[in-house]
Amino acid sequence: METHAAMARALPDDLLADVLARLPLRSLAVSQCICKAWRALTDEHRLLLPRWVRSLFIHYGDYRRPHFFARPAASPEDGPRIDRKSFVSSRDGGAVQRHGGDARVQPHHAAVGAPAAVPNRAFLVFDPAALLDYKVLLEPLEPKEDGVEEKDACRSTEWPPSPVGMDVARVLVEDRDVGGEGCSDKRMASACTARGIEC
Amino acid sequence: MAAADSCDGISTSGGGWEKTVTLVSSDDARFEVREAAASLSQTVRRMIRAGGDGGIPLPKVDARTLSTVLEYCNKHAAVPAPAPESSSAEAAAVDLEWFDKELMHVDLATLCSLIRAADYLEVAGLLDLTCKTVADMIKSKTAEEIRQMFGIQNDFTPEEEEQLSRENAGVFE
Repeated sequence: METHAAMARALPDDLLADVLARLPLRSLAVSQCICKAWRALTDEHRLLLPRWVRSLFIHYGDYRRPHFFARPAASPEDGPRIDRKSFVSSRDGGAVQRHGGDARVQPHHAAVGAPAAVPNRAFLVFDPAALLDYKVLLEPLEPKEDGVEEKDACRSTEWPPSPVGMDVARVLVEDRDVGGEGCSDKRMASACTARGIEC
Repeated sequence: MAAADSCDGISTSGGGWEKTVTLVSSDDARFEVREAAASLSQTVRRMIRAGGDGGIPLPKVDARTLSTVLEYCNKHAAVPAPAPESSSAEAAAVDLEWFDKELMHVDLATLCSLIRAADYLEVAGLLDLTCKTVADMIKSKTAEEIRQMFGIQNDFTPEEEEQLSRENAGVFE
């Protein structure tokens, strides 16, 4: 055991991160539970959505309604709620809001202060470990003409995500300078569609 | 001076004149390698350019690890530039894949040494291969199995652990 321990220590952090970065998301979530050092590493290298981000708000370019993704909460009161105009995450974290290609972390904790910009090239990825419980909330629509309302009716169902196809659930908010806004929107849309958000 | 020089050894193997270099491991083992193979390591390539006598010292790599790295370099440097859609190129690619697979049939400690060596020597292909191999070993394992594999102590407090299992419900089933 002693030699094993020495060996694990002998792989420097950036190389271990290199290894972990090649894991599928589900295994990456497992690797976060190994020890504090491994968890810090996945956070540090942004291999998964930082744990302090409790929820993610995505406004697809080509869909009319934004989607709100949130980590599961211990109790309903702690959980994410949605009201007519705003998205509110659980009490101890922020929500990532995305408007017109500008991704910002919107903290809802009084102590956190003003919104912080998401670092360039950050990958904001759902923790697939928690994905079984994810709720996707859809923004309530303003009453519109009948035809439009009907067309969108199928989207208003609250959707319990299926565990099938979890590996494609890589929902990213990419730096707008890298792929271009349109491109990242499309990628997000395809990731979500593949998992059946759209009916 | 002539025989031990790092950059002017000459061999006739392979039916042609090939330049060789001598690499020296941390435990003073000397390896004479074709320059084309050694140059797969960006670190060595830079040192060849810088010149010098008496072999290229690689103080961070031991002989056992270096010999595996060089096995990889020799094989990969020998592969001719791919001629697309030729059957021999395809066969070469399959052969190379098989070779890589065989080379990775080692224990975790050896793999970790290879990762460190590939990183230090900057052999991109080998770094990729070794990292992928370790990732594959981790992939299908539970948290406890991974801890055993790496000899890691679980240092989460019971409260943190409870929080983890709540957040990760479903992962360990």
